[in-house]
Amino acid sequence: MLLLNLDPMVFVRVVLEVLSELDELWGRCLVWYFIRPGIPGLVICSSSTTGFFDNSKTTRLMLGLSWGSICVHKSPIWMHMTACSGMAVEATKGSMISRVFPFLYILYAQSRRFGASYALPDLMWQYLSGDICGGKARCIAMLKAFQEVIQEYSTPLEKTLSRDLTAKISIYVNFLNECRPISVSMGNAIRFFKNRIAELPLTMSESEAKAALHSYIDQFIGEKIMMADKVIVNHAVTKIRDGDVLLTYGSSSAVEMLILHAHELRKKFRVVVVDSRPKLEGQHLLPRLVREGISCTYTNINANSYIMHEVTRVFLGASAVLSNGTVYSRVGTACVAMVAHALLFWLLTHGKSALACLSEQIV
Amino acid sequence: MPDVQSLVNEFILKLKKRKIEGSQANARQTAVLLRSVISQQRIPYTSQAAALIDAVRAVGQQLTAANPIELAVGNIVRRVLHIIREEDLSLTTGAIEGLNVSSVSDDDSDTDKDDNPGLSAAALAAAARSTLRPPSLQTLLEDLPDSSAIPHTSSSGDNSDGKSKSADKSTKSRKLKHDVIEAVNELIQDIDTCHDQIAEQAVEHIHHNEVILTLGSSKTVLEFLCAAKEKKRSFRVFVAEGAPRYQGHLLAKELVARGLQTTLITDSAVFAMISRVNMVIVGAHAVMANGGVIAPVGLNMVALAAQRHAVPFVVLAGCHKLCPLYPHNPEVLLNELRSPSELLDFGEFSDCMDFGYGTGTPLLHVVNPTFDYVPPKLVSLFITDIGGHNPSYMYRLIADYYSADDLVLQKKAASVN
Repeated sequence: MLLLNLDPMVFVRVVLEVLSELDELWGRCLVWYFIRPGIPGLVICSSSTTGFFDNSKTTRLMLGLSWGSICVHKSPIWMHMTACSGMAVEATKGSMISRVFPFLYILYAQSRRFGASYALPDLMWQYLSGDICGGKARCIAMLKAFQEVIQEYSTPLEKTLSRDLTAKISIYVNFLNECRPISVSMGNAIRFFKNRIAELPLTMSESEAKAALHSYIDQFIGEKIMMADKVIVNHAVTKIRDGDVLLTYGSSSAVEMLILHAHELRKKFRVVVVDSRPKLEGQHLLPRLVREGISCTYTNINANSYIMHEVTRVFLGASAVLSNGTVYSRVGTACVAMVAHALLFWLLTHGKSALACLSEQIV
Repeated sequence: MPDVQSLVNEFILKLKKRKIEGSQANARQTAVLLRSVISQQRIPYTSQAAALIDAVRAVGQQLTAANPIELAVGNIVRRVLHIIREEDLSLTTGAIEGLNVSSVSDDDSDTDKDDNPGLSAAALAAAARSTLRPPSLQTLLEDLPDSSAIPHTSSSGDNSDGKSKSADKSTKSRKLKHDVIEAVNELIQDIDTCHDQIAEQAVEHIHHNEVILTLGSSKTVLEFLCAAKEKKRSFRVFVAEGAPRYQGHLLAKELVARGLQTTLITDSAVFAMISRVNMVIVGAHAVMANGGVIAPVGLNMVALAAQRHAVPFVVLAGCHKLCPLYPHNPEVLLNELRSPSELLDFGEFSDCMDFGYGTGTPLLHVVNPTFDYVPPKLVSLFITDIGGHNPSYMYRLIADYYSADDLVLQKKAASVN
């Protein structure tokens, strides 16, 4: 039976029907891993593997799905292994169970590592594909995933919660690091979280401990991220005067909040959004500002020496601020800062200010 | 004449529509056109040079008005005018020297003007020539009077010498045209071979295991790097892609095809990479009289980064790009803004364009300039077809190639000339 011309939704339904017979847990993982990347790739790949089978819709689907995940995006090495093992098993031409079982077992074992939830696989996928980007967003997503992990966590016998959980968190962080190197904000959050786990009194019961950790994470997100942003914006908005021309680079959540807040305070200004490849993030910020009624100018980073003559203030977002004052940010921020600085010396009579960098995680 | 006029109109149309890409192509076609104008021009017996100059000036005015941004066109017009003046000058001094030999036994025409007032034309001509040249000990010692306009004096000098020169004049008119056309042919050949002449100097500048950075795509830079490669230098090239036209992609492909190790980077990564780079080599659109460079957009940023990291910033420019004008507010006046569609997709942003219509002014502006101005203090070296020079040396080259009278192509009513 060829799957080439199958409608994607029909395909999904067929797969789910088949998988409902199998263990629900790794079935969920399987669906999550393979269906999410892309239906077209799956269809093509599954159709190409039909040649390897003589019967058994199930095995065809299994291998097709695994090939699909490999071809569509950077899949972890174990997926390759499972596909190859499945192929090897198939070559022995045994019964269906013997063919499929090793394949399924490896999948199952991998899924077990992440605990019962698939919050972390979801997160891994989002990092890999670049769905979430930006220090703040990644940090919040990671903390929310940790909350789910804690929810479904249960202490194994003869182990203390704090040590075991810390070990598990370290393993998860390693996985996340492999998908994409962790940012400084994420590193700070992890350190905070591990401290809190270590500080839990041993007399606390498991449910109490889990509730406490949950609330600690909420507190961290609320205070260190959300509240900090508000305070930064309140301070920074005093620097914006009427008639200002602000320049910002790329898309920083803090700078966006600042501009919108200043607009709410009825200040008269206009914004220059400088954008660059490869992500072209300015194109995401631009509609959000124009929709609020802020007059914007959009340009490429190459033209920033052309546009810098009209600019009075430059606001840049930061991913991290190091202890010697160096700012670590999106590639290209240094170019914008350099040109602004160079023009500062040319136009001494204009009120061109120095740069203001907004960051929520300074350690 | 109608023949030439149609050629001129055709060229003007091409310039207006920006059909010709690149300053070399523009310069070459201008030179060829002016050659046809000169060869078809009927010149009277008296003041031939002035007639030629007027004709070329009229055409040049139209050409520069068609595309003011393309400075190479104006440069070639001024070069041709300078050629006409120089050829006329050399013919005049040659004729007067011929007369001199017959009338006065000793002394060449360049010295002892006080003794021979009749040789005022030659004196003034030589004096005019020396004011264009940089002051040297010889000219300081000669103590010459100030010059006035050359063609009229030379022509008045011709007239004052009477009938004996009438026979020379007809040959002289043919000779002037002939000389001018020969010189223009040489100019065209210079334009054609400028890449080769610049590329010959590549070996002196690029050494082994160097890392070169460039931005966008320039034929001169391509030839330069390939010439160094052919002389068995091994080096790496970083090419910044040069948004929004992404011409860096083309250059990278070309370089790889010729066997150079190339890395393509985005423009925002230039500051990150420049500390690992030994030299920045770029092409230019035009070089101004103060040594400033009109370059493709983004190069001012690269020049600033290079200055910060003490990396030499080398500009390759053929002589046809050398402009005798001073850049006043070049970011605005010598720049061209292109279509926003290169930056933003109109389909995605159509809803943004709608906002603000109620208030009357559109909320979204898109700025897409073509050129950037790099001030002379950021440029370390200019490599032209006659060698490598400092930015502060540009005025000397301009004095060699252009006359001061030609800077303004527009005809004024009460013109001195």
